[in-house]
This record gives sequence, C-alpha cells and structure tokens, in this order.
Amino acid sequence: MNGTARTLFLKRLQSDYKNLWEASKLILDWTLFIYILIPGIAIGAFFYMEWLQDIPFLLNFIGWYGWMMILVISFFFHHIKLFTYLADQLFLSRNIPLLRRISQYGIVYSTSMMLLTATLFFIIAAPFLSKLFSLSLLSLGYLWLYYLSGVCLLTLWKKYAQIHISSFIIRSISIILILILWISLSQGILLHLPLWIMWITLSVIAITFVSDKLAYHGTHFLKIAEMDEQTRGKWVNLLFTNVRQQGYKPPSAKPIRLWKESQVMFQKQSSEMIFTDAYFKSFFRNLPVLMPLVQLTGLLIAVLIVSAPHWTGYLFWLASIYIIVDITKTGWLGFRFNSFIELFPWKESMLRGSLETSVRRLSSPILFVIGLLFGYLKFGLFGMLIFSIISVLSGIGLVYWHIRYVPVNHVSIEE
Amino acid sequence: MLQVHIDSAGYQQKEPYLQNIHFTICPGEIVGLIGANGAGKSTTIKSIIGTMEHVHGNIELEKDKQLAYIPEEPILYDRLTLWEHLRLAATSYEMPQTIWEPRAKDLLKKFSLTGKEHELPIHFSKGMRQKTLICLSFMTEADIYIIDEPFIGLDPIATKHLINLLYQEKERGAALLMSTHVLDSAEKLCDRFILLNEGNTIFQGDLLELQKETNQSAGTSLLDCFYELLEEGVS
Repeated sequence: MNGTARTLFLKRLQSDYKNLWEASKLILDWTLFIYILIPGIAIGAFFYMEWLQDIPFLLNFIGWYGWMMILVISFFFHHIKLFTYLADQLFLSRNIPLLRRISQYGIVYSTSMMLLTATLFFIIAAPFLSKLFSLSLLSLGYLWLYYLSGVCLLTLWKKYAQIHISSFIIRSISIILILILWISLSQGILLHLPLWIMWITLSVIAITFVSDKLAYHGTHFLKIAEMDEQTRGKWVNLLFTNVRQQGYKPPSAKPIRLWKESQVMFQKQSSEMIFTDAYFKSFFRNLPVLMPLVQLTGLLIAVLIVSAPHWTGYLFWLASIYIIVDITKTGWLGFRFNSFIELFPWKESMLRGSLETSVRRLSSPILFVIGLLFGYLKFGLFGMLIFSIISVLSGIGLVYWHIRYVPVNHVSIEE
Repeated sequence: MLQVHIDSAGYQQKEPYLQNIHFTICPGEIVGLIGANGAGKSTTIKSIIGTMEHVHGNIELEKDKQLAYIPEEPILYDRLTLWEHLRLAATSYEMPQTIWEPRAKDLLKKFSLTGKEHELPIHFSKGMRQKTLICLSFMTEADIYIIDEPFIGLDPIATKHLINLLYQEKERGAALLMSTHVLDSAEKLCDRFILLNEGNTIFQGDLLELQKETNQSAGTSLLDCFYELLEEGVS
C-alpha cells in the first residue's frame, strides 16, 4: 500500500509541476525575460545592497514589532496541499488508508517546501534585522527557528481550521490569537532561553498533533479535495487560462451583477467594440483574474513608494508601465484564444483594433494612478501632472511599438 | 461547395491517423460522416475546420462561403450571458442587429431557451448548452454546417426541432456535414454517407448504393449495412 501511495503521490506532484510549467510558459515569453525578469533581478539585487548600506527611514521607523508584522505577513504565503483530487471521490475516497498516506506525503512535502521558502525569506530579512537591532548570529539562529515554528504552526492550523471548523469567526479568532502570541513573545524569546526552548517544544508538539489530525481520516473528503483543486488552480487563474481540470473554479450560480441585461458597455457598437465589450465583461466578472491585477498594481505602487527617493525609482516606474500594458495584452490574448472564440472566424483588422483598444482602455487608468503617485513623490503637484500624462502616453506608445506586432490570429481571414 | 482532399492527417507528424479521405459536399446536401469510435470522424472534422496541426492535403471552400461548426462538447464562454454569446457570434459574421436579433429570438423560443438570455450558460445542463450552440450556429445562416454528434444530449422535442432546422437549412441551399452515431436518424436525414474505418474511407454513396455494395436487400437499414461492411472488412 505504501508503494502505491508513494507512486500516486509522486505522479500527482509531477503533474502539478507540469501544469505549473505549462501555465507559466503562457506568459514567460522572451520579451518578459529580457525586459522584466533579468533587469528586475539585477535592479532588485542592486537595491538590496544599496538599502543594506543605507537603510531607508521607513524600515527603521517601524521598529521591532513592525518587522515582526512583516514576518507575520509572510506566514500567509504558504499553504498545505493534501494532494487529493475531486475524481478520487469515485475510486479512492473509501480507501481511507491509501488517501491518508497520500495526504501524509502531501503534508511532509508541503512543510518541507514551506521551511525552504520561509528560510529564504528570512535570509533576505536577516541582515536588516541584524543591523537594526544589533542581533548576533546566535540570536538570529534562535529567531530563525522561532520564525519557522510560527510559519509551520499557523499554516498547518489554518488548513486544519478550514477543514474542521465551520465558524468563520472562531477560525479567524484562533488565527489572530496565534499571531498575537507569536508577535508578543518574539522579543522575550531572544532574551530568555528557557522561554525559547519552551516555545519550540510546545510548537513541535502542536505541529505534530495538528499534522496527524490534518491527514485524511475518512471525513470532509469533498472539502479537502475542493481546497486542493483551488490551490492547483491559483496559478492557472492568475495566468488567464481556462482549464477546468487544473482546478479552475467556475463562476457562482448567482445572477450576474454587472451588465445584467447583457447590454453593450460602449456607445459605439462596431464589431471591434462588441468584441472589446465581451472581453471587458469576461474580465470584470472574473474575480480570480481581476484580483491578481489589483494586487499587482498595489504591489507596484508599494515598490514605487519605497524606491521613489532613489534614481532606480525611474526604472521601476518604466517597468511598471511595461508590466501593466503586457498583462492587459496577455488577458486579451487569453480571451481571444478561448475555445469558444475560436469557433468563429474573425477578421485580423477587427481583432487588432480590439486588442489595441482593450489595452489602451484597461491600462490607461492604472498608468494614470501610478504616474500621479510617482510624480507626486518625485516632484510634488507639478510632478503629478507631468508623470501621469507621460505614463499614459508611454502606455499608448507601447501599444504602437509593441502590441501592434503581436499575432492575433492563427490564420488571417481574407478581407 | 466544400471539397475535402486529405492525403494524411494526424496528431503526430510521422503517425498519420487519417489517410486518403476525399469527398465533396454540394449545396442543399446533407452528408453523414459515419464510423465506429476512433474511426477518424472527429479528426476529419478537425482537419476541415483547421484545428489539426498535421494535415497533408487540401480543403477547398468556395469563395465568400461561410462555415459554421457545432462541436460535440458544447464550448461556451463562462462569464458571458447567452445573449452576449449570440451577439458575439453575430459580430463574427458581421450580421446587423436587425437581422440576427429576430433570428436569435425565434431559435431561442424553438429550443425553449427564452427567458434564459441574461444568464451565464455555464450553469445550464449539457443539453441546454448544446441547444445554445445550435442556436448560435443556425442564427448565422451559414453556407456550410459541420456538426459533430448533433443529437447527443438533446431531449426529444429539441431533436425534432433540430431535424426540422436541418431540413430547413438544406432547402435554403446550405450544405451540411454531420458526424453521428445515431444511425436511424442519419438514415432518414442524410442524402449520402461517408463511412470511415481506422482512418480510411470504406464507402461513399447513398443508402441504395450501400445496400448494393453489401449485397443487402432494399429496405435493409443503414445500421445493418454498416455492420455488414465492417464485418466484411474484418473477414
């Protein structure tokens, strides 16, 4: 049985990575590598070194508990996958020992990945902590283990609570209590070794206990499988594909809220605008696609705020313009190459017109906000005016320089 | 109206799944593409509509003729309402609103979809989604219809309406290529049959010719003739 469970687990793991790779390939094209990733890594590394030399005021101002809050935010980056599929309901849900073994492998694998990524995050933060709070290497070691225990405890508990505790309030309160306890004890554990030993011991016991309870034992199968499917679908949703078997979540059965009488959202009702209308609706009605764009915009704004005092802020500002334009383009391409849209013939000129209109109309408001903010941080009210205009114009420029050459049709229809 | 010359086609460059499929469909004709599971019906259709990667041959569609395709598995966009789907399909064929709206309303009524216009079809049953696709395609009044398993999932009333619609389109002069397993319906509907087996054409012609080819008496059903033909091939 162990061999079967291991083989099945490894196959599912392999399939997860394959899906992730396929989904990533959709946007990780060479332009993204050349324009974003490689310069991004270089600029990021440069920034990091620069900040280490001269720590920004904000990072100093937030103090110990502010830093602990940042570490606590990172607790939410991780998740536990139990590697169950909805299809298991048909064949495996009654084979409790087999599914339990697979879920145990899943917990071990997810925890290992969590420890690895949490350690990497800690390594990035450690030099700042050491410098700001004069921590020795030994103290950093204590803090690292304390951090890992917090990450494990919260992530495992969060998953357990999602499955077994139906009350949202009790779930939230329990999670908040763990976080408050972790933050409050963070300074104490560095000063009192017995407290640290006690915390680590209790955490290990709690983690073992929760892990054991978390592994599948014959109940809540559908809940577990659905959560796993959603986790698998996270990337896929983000990358604008429509692949239900990879965990894609269809829209709810509630009546739609936006344009509920199916009216066209534009006054001009040409072919181009009707196609654009369909794309916009599919975009605005699709929260799993819309939210990552909102989150990304938030992240870009945060990076711009932090980097604005430095000359590298200009690079981030330019990169933000490219990222926003490129993402709105990817969204349109995802819609255009959907199986339904591919059932019908489309004229190249109409598609191109729709792509350019969609990118312009979707990206311009975001670029305007980014320009306003960056301009204000750089040159005050005057900067707001100039940079908002330049941002929008640069976006439009990119449409002419870059988007115009994106292939929109497999075979162009003779016009 | 449509000439199909497929020398070979397949999912891999060096492994052809179809070989030597040649036929023509004329205006006002319903042609049945018949074959067992895996015979190559869907691959033939995919080759015609251009979604197969490795096709050697030639598909000739008369100039300015429009083609509509109804797939076996209803494909719809998850976040567009039924009406938005109809509008988008009409846009693809550049149909004015004054033309497509009455046609769409009439088809929706026929297929009992009136009142569902502003709902997301993702929550429809499989049959309703199939009906949606039928409405989408027939609304366009295309010159050629390629229909993959049209009767699967339809209730008897909808099946009756679809059959009437097929006759109506035939009378209008449209050409229809229909792949199906429902041989009794195919027998009544189709003017000609193309029988496929293991990626090859084993017969082309009408029912009388098929009965002759298989040495069956007049009145033998398409199913029996088809069975006989396959048995002959096996022996």
